[in-house]
Amino acid sequence: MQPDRSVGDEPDVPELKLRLRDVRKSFGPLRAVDGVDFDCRIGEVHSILGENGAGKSTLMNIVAGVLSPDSGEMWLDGEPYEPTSPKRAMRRGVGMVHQNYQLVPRLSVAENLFLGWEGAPRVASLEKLAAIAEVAIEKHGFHMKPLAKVRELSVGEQQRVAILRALVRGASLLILDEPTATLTPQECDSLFAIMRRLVGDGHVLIFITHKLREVMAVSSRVTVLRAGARVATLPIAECDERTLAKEMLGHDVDSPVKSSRVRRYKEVALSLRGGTVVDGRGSRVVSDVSLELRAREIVGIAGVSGNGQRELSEAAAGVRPLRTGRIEVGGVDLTGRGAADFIRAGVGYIPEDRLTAGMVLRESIARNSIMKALYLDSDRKTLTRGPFLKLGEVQRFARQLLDQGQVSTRDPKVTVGSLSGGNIQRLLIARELRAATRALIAVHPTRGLDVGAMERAWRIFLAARDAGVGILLISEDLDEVLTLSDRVLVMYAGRIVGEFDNRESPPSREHLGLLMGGATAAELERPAVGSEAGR
Amino acid sequence: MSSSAQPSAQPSTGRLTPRLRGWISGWMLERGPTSVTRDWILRLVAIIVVLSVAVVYIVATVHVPDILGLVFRGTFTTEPGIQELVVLATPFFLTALAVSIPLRVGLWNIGGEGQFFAGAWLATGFSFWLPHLPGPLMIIGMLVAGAVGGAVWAVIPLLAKIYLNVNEIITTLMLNLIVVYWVAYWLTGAWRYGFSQGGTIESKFIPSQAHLPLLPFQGGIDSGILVAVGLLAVVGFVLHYSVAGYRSRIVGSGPDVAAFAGVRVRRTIAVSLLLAAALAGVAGVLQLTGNSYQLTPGLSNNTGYLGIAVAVLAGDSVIGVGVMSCLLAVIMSAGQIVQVYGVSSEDVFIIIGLLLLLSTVATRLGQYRLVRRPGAARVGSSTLAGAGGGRSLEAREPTTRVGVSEVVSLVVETGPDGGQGA
Repeated sequence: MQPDRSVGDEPDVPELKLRLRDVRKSFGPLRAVDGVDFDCRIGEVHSILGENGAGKSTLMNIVAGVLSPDSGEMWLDGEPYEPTSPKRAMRRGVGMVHQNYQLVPRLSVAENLFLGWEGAPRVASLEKLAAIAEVAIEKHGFHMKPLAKVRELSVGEQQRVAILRALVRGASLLILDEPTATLTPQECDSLFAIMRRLVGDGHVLIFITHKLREVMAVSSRVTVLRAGARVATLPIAECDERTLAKEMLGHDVDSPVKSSRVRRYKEVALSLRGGTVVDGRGSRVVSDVSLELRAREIVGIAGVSGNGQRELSEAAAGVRPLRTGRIEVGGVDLTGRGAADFIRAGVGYIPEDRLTAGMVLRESIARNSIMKALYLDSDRKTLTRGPFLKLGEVQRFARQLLDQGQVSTRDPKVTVGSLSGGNIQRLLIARELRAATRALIAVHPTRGLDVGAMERAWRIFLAARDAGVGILLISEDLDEVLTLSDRVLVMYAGRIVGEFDNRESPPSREHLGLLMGGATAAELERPAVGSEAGR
Repeated sequence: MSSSAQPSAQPSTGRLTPRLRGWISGWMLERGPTSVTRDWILRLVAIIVVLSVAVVYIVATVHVPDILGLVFRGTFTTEPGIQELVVLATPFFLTALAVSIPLRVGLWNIGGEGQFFAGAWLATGFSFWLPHLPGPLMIIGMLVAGAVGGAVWAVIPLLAKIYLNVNEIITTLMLNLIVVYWVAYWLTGAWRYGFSQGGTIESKFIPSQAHLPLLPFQGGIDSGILVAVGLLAVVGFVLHYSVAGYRSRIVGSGPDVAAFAGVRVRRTIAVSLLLAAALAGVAGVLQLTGNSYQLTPGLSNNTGYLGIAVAVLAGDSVIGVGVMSCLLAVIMSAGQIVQVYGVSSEDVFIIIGLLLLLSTVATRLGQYRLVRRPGAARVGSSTLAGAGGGRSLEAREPTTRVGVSEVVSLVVETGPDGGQGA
């Protein structure tokens, strides 16, 4: 490889696959991508590293034709490149695998591969599609059955279908948007193996991530974005995690959040015994789960999304009824009671779908702030007079939450929908912490926050714990679980499959990863377990 | 790329020249934020457009000098004109609320017409069964009977909705048909007006102490308007300032957030629908006691259905319900005047239909903005770097976009000549 080509060369440098010059994109006042130059060479895995909101996805959505840039120039294979739709980008060989794989769950792998593709045969039986799909699967060395229904596949397998779909359509440049977010460590390893094989076959890969470890593991070069601008492009051989972190954050890494040891109280904040929960379609997604959350402790639940965590959290917050089992808050039996009784008992809840479940986006901050407080006797007294709201008090209450949550606006009259995702999250955390006098159920509580805000949220959770709140932390992010938790449980297929004392004998990431992927105790005892164990 | 980059590659694509296609392809629709003010401006534009069309139509078809002046004076300045406006507007306030309130919790109550008649029927019965009650007691009793009658008429759809999740649009609509024949049964039987022969069916007159008093203004204004406006104000206040109103808005925002916030969804839905139906029933009573003094199959004058139009035009604003009720009353009243000059009553409903269509389309279209496609300046010369290229405006979620050229080329290429032509 030649040394890094400097900006300003002729546009038709042959070994460059993709070349961007001064690409800009604004959303209102926000400059999401602010004059980025970017080169991607033939034969490389090029990582795009940056915090949430750094502009990684926006930039690559521009390359994939999903968004059009406000200004700037692009070349692909030495030719000017102006995709105006994903379809047109695909015709030039640029495919993107989004975080949501956009597959149809009830259709087969083969049907998903051909759906919406202009190159698909006009008339073909399912068998014929399967035969064509089989050839493509073989060619790229994937292992999957073309007639398997997508909904029966694991998340990792679904991702492979999405990758294959782009390859079948002739993608030579493949963009993977945070592909590891929902995978176990082992599934990540097999994804990386696929990526290396694709590069060997002559594909070029762009890998979007905010995880330093993965950048080091798989890429040949890395471009770091910060606040919409490119701050560095480095060969991977010349950097380490620490320098990358510094480039990404713009300052030296703070002293990491450390959980101090506190004695948990004897008092049980929330207990669930033999809890079974069914989802909206009536299938059992939480089976016979028992857990005890003491006051003044954080219990982390690790697991890949879709293994029953959502339903477990809803049941713990009283939003979804238990099919069987018994749930108590502060020693009071609340089995069969509604969310209102859980709120009164002092349970706060940070749900996974904060935008559809936790907030009403078209209502003002003021009206969203009091969603929980109306159930709490002390707050209710100040906020209402008889059946009516005291709007002045409601606004004052909202301003308190805005202060506590360090939300960027101080105006409680604006709608929540006009806030950024991170600010909505901060408001939500502030509201729920205020309501959580006994227990807090927190699901992916820092997803969508930048590193600074995330660490602040972590410190707030630890402070709440020290003050005596029991916190049930459900997260896919192992770093988060391992940093905050006093105890760690692992959830797989609706059951608790492992429990660790994270203070006395912290579990290894590998061990947790295997459990998250469904490995049984017997498999764990054998020392060398292949990367396919995740399946 | 669109055709702008390769104009010569496609020799003939439809009837548009490459240059024109290039220019058109430089525009696109981008989704942006909406605001209440913006929605209202768009509605106002739609209203002005439709009323202009109506004016042009009337001037063109009615050959009477100064027809517009006649209509205007007849509607707004004469005593009977003003009386008529009030009579027309009164039920709209309530039948529109009957749609608007359930809509806040996500329910479409299409049964305003039936609830109107159910209320009017029970109130008529009340006055016949207790004919010697003194005036105030009689009127209050009839209003209560009307509210009860309307609410009862919504019970079946309500139970079907909350226990079996049966679509309320269908159940409420179907019950409208049933009440028509229920009323007809009484009008041709026990309550038949003695003198009516064959043709029209109508009930006996209600006792005279059941007539609403007239307000001493403009030769006597129907006082039912006070009841209607009063109820509108109370509903608006409760929805905006009460805890219950707040919770109803949460329910309307979706089942997830309602469950999260611990709101009892079924109860909220039940209260909303029953309240709405009761208001529609009261509308029937006001029409009965303030205006017609007898139950007839034409008592509602379609106000139950027109209430849907008013509610949609009003968005989710209670003040909007008031304003739009008045607007519709003006259109109906002016329509009655032009009918004298040969314009048919169907034309009036066409105007109302157009109004509804245009204003809903306008508010939906208002979510999009027509913006210059970035880099569109390059048409013809590929060296220009998109100077000053498209400001993306205040789009927070630019997720949906439709290229104008794609729409046009779709229309052109799939035109009668067929895409493969020549």
